[in-house]
Amino acid sequence: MDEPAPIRLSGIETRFGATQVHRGVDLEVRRGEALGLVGGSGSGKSVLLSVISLLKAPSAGELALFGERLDSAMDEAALIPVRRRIGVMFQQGALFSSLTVLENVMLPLSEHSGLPAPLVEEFARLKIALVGLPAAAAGRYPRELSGGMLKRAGVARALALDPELLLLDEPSAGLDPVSAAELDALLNTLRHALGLTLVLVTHDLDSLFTVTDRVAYLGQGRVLAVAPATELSESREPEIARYFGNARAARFRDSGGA
Amino acid sequence: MSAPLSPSPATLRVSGETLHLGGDWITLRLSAVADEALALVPQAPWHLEASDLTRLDSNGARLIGLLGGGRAPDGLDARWQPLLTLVQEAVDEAPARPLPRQGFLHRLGERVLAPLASLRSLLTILGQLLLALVALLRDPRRLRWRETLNVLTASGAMAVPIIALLAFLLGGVLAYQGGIQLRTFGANIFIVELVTLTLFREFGPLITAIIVAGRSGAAFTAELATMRGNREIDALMTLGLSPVERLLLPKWLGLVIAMPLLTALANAAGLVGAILVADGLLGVGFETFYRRVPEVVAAHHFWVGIGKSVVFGMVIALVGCSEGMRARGDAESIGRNTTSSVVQSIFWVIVLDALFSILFNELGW
Repeated sequence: MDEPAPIRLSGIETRFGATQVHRGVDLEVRRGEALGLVGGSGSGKSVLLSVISLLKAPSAGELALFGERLDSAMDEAALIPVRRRIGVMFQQGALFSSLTVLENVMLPLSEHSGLPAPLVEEFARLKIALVGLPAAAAGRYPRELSGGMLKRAGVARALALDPELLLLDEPSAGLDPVSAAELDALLNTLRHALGLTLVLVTHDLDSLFTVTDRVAYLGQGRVLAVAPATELSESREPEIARYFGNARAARFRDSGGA
Repeated sequence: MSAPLSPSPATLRVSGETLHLGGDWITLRLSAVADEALALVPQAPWHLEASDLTRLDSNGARLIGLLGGGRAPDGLDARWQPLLTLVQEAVDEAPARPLPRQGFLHRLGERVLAPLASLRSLLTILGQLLLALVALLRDPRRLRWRETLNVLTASGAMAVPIIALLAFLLGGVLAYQGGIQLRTFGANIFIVELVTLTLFREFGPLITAIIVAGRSGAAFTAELATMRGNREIDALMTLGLSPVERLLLPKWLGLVIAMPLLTALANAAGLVGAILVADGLLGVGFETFYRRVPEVVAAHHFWVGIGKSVVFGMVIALVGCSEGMRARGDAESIGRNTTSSVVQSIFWVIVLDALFSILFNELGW
């Protein structure tokens, strides 16, 4: 099937009041790839993810998702078909605290799929099993889950409608190395089996090297480079070299000090 | 205008023992076959034939798994085999289990014990506040001036306009209703006693307490509950700082000072409202009130109301703090505890008011 790129950004500019975050971001994400977004703090990675997840309208530039040009003048109703094809996992999970994990995962299904209730529950349980949560977690409330379980539950809800595109904000942040590695492995499995396109904002070098095909480096309000992680980490560009250098150094320091 | 998700909805055709699956078996296209498929699941496993399948996602794969009893369909495109396997493995590893349902007795017990837990928390906070107060009396330098003044501003000064306005209206209504009755007896002049006594003894303190419970009690609860959610209270404790002394005591002292002042204001505003109405309705004007109030209304009526308002302030701050410290800090709990804080405050205020009525009657005040 010859389908258009899931994400195409050209000349995206965003601003918060007087602060300009992006000054012309150009980026294309190919179908089925896993793209990492990195950059120093304040470089606008999470804001860019908000733009792609249609939460923040860019002040200039063009955003096309699945080959469809979207502009900020579009009303919310017109965006819903696009939203259904995108799953978003927020950094802290952002699970609804008044609903159990099962109800959290069932919510998008029962609102959007038009399926009968028994199937909705069946599919929600499948998602909970797919992300590796024990069946008993389904009946628990978010406050009763550990950090790693919250992230998995967040992925389960994001996958409820079987989106083509999954956006993840710092999936492994705040997890211990074992849980982080498990989550990376999970993302890889799901991505290949479900044919997902992944975009992840991350600071975790392990995730960058094991999950992503390409990494986009954001700096000075633009995409400074897009390349596979191994290639990018050898970059001669001073800012990128410093980012990977420092992160590396931090890693050695951590492993030495532990 | 939006790009179609797919050209073909899912299809399902029964022929003898075989189900023919076709089209897109993806979540948003499944509704076309969902009801029919669900009806066929009890007779599973079926023999499946899927050579016309054009797309498949995990939810579609799960439905195929349910229909085929775990056996792969014939004619399935090889690229979907891994997805089908992954879905089947995930389901096999974690067998669906019905959620444990809470029995009637369980829920009844919870309902009965919940108010007791809140009462217990109320008493705990009261004890902690009293201990902190004793410590403060021993060493007055421990008072958190800035926090206490902040509470006085937010809960006292900022409440002046709304309390003055509502008490003014209440005074007017009181004079109007009382005045109509008194006029039929030709006892116009007694409007002074009627209005002043009910305002000073009951309505002034009550209206103030109700507004303060809704404004400040709720704010205390929401603030403390959010701080708990952010673990700010835990942070204070790890720094060796007492949350009771730094957070609760200033709120409590602030309301204890603000409530009598606001009540005095409510009394005055209510009196103004009453005088305006009495003047128009009964011809009992400002001069009459000015002369008669000190003459016929003993000062202790005013002080009874003020004294009650101090107690109301204590209760409102206590309930607000206790509900806040009890909250878990998630969105739902903040809402529930704030509601509970306002309802409980007003409940206790009215219960205490009734007890005071009996007490003062016995004492002959």
